[in-house]
Amino acid sequence: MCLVCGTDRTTGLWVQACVVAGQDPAGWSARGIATARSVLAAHGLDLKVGPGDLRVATRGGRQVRIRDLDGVWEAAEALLGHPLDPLAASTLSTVRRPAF
Amino acid sequence: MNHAAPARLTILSGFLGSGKTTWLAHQLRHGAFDGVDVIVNEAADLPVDDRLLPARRLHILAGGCACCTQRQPLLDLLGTMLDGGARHIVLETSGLAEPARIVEAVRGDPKLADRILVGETVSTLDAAAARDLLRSEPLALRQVEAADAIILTKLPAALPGDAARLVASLRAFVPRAHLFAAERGVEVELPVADDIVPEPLDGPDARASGGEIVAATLDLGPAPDLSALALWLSALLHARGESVLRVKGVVASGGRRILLQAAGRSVELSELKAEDREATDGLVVIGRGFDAAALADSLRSFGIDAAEPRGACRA
Repeated sequence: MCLVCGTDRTTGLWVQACVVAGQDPAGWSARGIATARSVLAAHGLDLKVGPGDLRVATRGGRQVRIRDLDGVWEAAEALLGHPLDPLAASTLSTVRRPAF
Repeated sequence: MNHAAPARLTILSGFLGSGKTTWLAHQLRHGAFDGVDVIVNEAADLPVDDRLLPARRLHILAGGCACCTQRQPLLDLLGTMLDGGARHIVLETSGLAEPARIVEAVRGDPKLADRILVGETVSTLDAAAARDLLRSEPLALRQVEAADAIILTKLPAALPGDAARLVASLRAFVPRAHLFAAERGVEVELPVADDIVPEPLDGPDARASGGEIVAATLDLGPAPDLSALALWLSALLHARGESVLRVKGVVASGGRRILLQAAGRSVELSELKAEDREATDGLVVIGRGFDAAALADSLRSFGIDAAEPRGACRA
């Protein structure tokens, strides 16, 4: 079981399934989405959230639908053409801390 | 003069994430090492693996590898344990330690030489990762070379043909070593490799240094935002899964203490037992190609109040 959201998972990143399924009594989704948005914004990307729907999008309108927040990085890489490296100087210098 | 029969030392080595602790925990639970004293050596100064071991007498040697920075503390600890009556000691080394150097240190110590006998060196090896690992990590190759017994782990994740070739290759490369296979500590059958042609394990890159490995310990503050930490780890493993060799730590969440372990891109979580509540919170990241200080900067950019890393051990 996911120790965070209670979803029946035994392995894998614990972001999985916590968001889209809406199992978020502790505000998990809101915080996770805010954090992802702040990181994506530094690379010119946005995270669009609808009912049961998550998409990473460019300002130009290209979008990649993702299953959960763990998919953000693969989608970002597809849109940017390179991995979004959290240790890269370009990320560290431009990301603003998310405001909750 | 000491006329007592020497005590026995078993060295359990294996590269980061190869399953040393899982294998040892199973043996301890099922009595294979009944009555032993266990030493857990960790490269970082935040011990985590000891939480997983059901040993009655467990000693921790953290903050460096037993073959180098913790070499003298290991010798001192062994002396103290022998004074206390230990008869069989199992040393689980850090994933970055060289067992041959530990054997050399123990045998060369005049205070220990006639009191303790290195019984065997056992090395765990991730069967799914072995082929690439042995070609790219000289340390992993040396751990295998030094082994009297090699335990192949994670066989189900390896392709059947690759696993059989690995068995044939290990038999050719380290003919004196006994080969076993285990799944979460339980012995399983080795793949049949009688007609398989072995391949060299020490490829052209295996003897070259793969670059400096850093083990950084990060303090995440009293109540890190777990959703932000999850995202950060997700991003880190996606971008740097090849160079982040191991992540482990203890984090607090909603009144619970969660033990986190990652090897490669796989992450496992478990809740700490009540008796382990005194475990220190923090995160250990082991890998190469990054600056330890950048880890803390990166965590802060994800909204986590990480302090500057401490105890960075370099191998």
